[in-house]
Amino acid sequence: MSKCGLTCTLNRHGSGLYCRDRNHQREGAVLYCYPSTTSEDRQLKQVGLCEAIIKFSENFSTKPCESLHTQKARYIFFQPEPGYWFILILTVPSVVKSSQEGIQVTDYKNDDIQDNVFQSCLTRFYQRFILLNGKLEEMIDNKGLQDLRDALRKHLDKSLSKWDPNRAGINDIFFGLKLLPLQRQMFLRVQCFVNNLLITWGSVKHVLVLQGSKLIWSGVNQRDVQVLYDFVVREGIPPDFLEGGKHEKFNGIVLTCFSFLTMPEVTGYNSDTENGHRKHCNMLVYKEKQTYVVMLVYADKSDFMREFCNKIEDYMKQNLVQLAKDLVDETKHSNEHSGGLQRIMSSGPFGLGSGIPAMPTSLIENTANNNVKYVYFNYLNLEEKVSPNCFQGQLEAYKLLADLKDDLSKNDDHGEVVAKMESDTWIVAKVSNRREYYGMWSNKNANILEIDEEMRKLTDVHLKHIYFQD
Amino acid sequence: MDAEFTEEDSIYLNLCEKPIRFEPVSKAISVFYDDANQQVFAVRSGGATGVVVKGPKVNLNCTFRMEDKGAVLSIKFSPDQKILAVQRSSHSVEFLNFAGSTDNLLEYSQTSKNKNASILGFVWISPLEILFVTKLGLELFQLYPDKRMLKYLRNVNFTVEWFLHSPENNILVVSSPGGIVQPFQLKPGNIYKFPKLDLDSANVSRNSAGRQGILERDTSIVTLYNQTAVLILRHKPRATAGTGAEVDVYILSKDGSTPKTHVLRLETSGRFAINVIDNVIIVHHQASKTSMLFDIRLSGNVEGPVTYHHAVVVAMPIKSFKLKLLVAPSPSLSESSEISCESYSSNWVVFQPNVIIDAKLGCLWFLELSLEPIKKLIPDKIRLVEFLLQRKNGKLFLMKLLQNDVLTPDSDLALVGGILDKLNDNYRSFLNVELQSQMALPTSGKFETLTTKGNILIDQQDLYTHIFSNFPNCENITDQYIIFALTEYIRSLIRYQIPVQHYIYELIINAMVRQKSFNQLHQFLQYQVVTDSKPLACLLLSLEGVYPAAHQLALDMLKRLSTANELIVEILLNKQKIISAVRFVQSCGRADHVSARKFLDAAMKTGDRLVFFSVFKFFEERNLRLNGTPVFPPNELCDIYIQHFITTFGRTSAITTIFGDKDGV
Repeated sequence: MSKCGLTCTLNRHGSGLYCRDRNHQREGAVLYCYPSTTSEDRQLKQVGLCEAIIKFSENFSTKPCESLHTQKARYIFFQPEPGYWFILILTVPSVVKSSQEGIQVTDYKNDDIQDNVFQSCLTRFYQRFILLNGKLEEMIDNKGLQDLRDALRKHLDKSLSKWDPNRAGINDIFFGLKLLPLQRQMFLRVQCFVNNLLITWGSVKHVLVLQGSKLIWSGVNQRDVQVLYDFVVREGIPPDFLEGGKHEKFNGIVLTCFSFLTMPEVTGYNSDTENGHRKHCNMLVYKEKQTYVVMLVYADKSDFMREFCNKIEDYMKQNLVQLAKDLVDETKHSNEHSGGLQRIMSSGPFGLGSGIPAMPTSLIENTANNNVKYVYFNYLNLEEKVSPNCFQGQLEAYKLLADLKDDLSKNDDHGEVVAKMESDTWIVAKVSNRREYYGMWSNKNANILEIDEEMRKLTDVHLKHIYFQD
Repeated sequence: MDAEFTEEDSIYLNLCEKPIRFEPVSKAISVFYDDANQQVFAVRSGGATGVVVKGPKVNLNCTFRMEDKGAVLSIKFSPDQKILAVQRSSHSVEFLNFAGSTDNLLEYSQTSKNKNASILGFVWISPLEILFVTKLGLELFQLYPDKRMLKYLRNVNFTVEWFLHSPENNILVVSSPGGIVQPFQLKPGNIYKFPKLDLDSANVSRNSAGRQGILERDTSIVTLYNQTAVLILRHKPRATAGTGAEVDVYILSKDGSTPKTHVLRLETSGRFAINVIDNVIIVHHQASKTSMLFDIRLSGNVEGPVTYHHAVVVAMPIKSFKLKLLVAPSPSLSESSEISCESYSSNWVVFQPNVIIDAKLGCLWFLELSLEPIKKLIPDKIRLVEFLLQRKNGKLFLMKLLQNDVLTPDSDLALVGGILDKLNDNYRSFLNVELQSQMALPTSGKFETLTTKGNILIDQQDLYTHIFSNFPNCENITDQYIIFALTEYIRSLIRYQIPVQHYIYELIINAMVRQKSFNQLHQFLQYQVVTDSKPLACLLLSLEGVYPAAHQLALDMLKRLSTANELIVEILLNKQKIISAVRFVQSCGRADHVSARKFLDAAMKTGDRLVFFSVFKFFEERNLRLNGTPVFPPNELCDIYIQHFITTFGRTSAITTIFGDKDGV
């Protein structure tokens, strides 16, 4: 059955991800190929084709080629560093139909693959890789080609085996942060705690504070925070911990230590200035209640760790314990405030805990009953909000969002698209002032005016406190 | 020598430079001190060879003679210095009118109303009212100096063992058998009873081994933070020995009872005397020749209703007097300086609030407390701040402390936070008092008057002018530190719900901009740490060049203000987002009121035909709605835009296009 989306997985259909380098080795050397069972001959063919296309396209544009569409396959190209290419080859999903005469016709659903989504996916793969390994060029310079190949294999094999391209969608483009709404008093306490940490420990360069999986504070600059946040939430902290609950007994200081992260070198504390050079960092994660303090410490000195950890542990005991306790109380309080729907409502989409007054209950019920789903993203602070269990079972509609986003991006500053799908799902996409809001309703009988009204209600609740073009 | 120097540096108590000197006590001379008028009486031979009166008010000093009618027991001027009362026996008090001259002083006498009651003493309540304290109660008399007589006014019957009077608030404390300590408020013509002290019964019975009840010498009446308090020294407060003596503090209040609220732990035993300066209780300990400081407003160990206090700083001696004599250029006294310098001598008598008299030396000193040495003796800076906040002249010291030791890059931020919290807790209490005074007070019913927590206030203005605004000029202070310190300060202000002044925000935002900490600035705004305001939004707009997201933040802020819609329109027009501006005007229901000219002008300047067409059409529709015709009214002054429309599109109107074309066809 290939009802919706991509039927291919990378495995089954032999699509692949190639990393190609053409500066250091003979042209078209493949650094990595997935799946690894792909024959060398096939690898060479694919890479040769891609290289030809890229080369050819250079005649027409200074921007590197982004994708190649064929009837049966989609090629996505991404050049993270000069001379290095990530190539993703996807099999176009197809349906076999029998015509009235009984002839079988294969219908290729080219529209089911969105270039922007997979471009983003490739970017993420690269970013995750360099977070843990450093830039490709630097790796070759420092460690050599074989090490780079090993590292790529080790890292990407793991990532790709978990990755399901069929579920890729607009959230892969946003890749946003989930922020915790907080009263400013509490936020300032966290801020002061972090300041104190930075001023006391000169080697601590960046601090992230999370409550559960939600971010309270990040001292990492915007370019790097998404991938770091993603890493912390997905791998830095065991998922059971993030969920909270059953691991209560591990309260106190839990220490995770990764000593192989690389971050752009910065001067100063929260400075956005950097020289492009990446430095090795150690990551320390402390946990108290549901609060996680993630610290990045430059790994300049080899005597890092034991002694340093002991000292910083004392510091945490003195300073973090009470803060974490109060944070739990505060978030509990705000959850009670907004009833059972805390995951949607405890925060507006902006993390403006204090700015968003308690919502009238009727509205909450209203939005809940209507089975509305939404995605919000702000490009300027990278915040993302997704309604709970978003788009389960509505993959087709979800995928459409990426297309609507693409359409809207052609407008200059703001715009709105309202669409009704064959499945009777209504979708409204709105863009204003670098913020994007997507709502989805599954009301069979609604007309466009009613949906417009629903959208207005929803945005009244969520976007009340910002300038968002109607 | 060094050790001596450091000790010298940390001495915080000294006797005043110039004591009031009087003739020392001898066989022929008896000396009396009246604490109401702060006067020392040296009575020579019962007054026959002269009475010398001296006090801090030099113009009131005088000398006179009076007949020697036996040993004087007590002698005091009335508050206006016109009548002298002398007590020579337990049956009567004699009066002398001092109006004008000190010659031919004729006495008149008053016995106690109850003939059987022997007079323990007397207290002037007002210039013409006097209270006799007898063994059987209190008797109030009115004086008629012209008639040279007194008139009985009223009495309170009460068995009295001893009494104490505090002139400061005119409080009389009377001890009765059975360990009853009863305070009275004396007012002209009236005597009010306070609830008697809730003494521990255990304590009373233990004392009763020697004499009944509480001893006079263990009791003092003092004023602490505008409240009258009775201090009672207990030599053996607990069954378990070795804990040292304690001072119980009873704050007098008009209603209910008077329980013990504070206990000062002296941790030594022996003879003690008590002074109070600037609300600091000073307990002198004779055996060790040191004095301890206590402040009941400092935090202590709370056990139930009682707070237990330890000495604020280590006990130190009073600065030796010898040093002062050497400096003093008085050769006649220098010979006896060796003897005279004995501090804590058994000849010392201590009076409230801060008087020390050495009768054998013939000196009356006022005790003085200096804050500078105390700064070094309280290592805990938070406690030091607490202490200084209560002192009358603590502000200068506090500001210096903050400037030099607290708000500097090498001090611990957690400590800075703690200190700022103390300051702002106090700040809040001042604001509360101000708020209460602005509100109309209910005329009846009990309304608790708020009091400030400290004696002095350090507000945002103080810190801004003296410390924060100087930060950028200090070489060792980085922008980063400014951000850290101000973040702590803002956190603390918000914690105590004190509205943060805009200049504090400006400082921190400017520091963030200089530091390029835009990420941090963004998070600050996002959590609304900074209160929304138009000036702030404008500041953000000006930052768009260095931080693009500032534009969005500024618009959000203006939207939240909801009074700045005009400004939003201006910003959008300025950004050539004409359509956005029109839609915004529409969304806030102002479409019928805006000037068409402004929008058309902006649209024309974009050079975008489509935009101009849309805006033109929008206003034509408005005209149609308001006036029934799409034509622009002449007072809108839109002729040049109409002209532009015609030249661009070759038509006169956007709205009638379809019909017009049809007509044309």
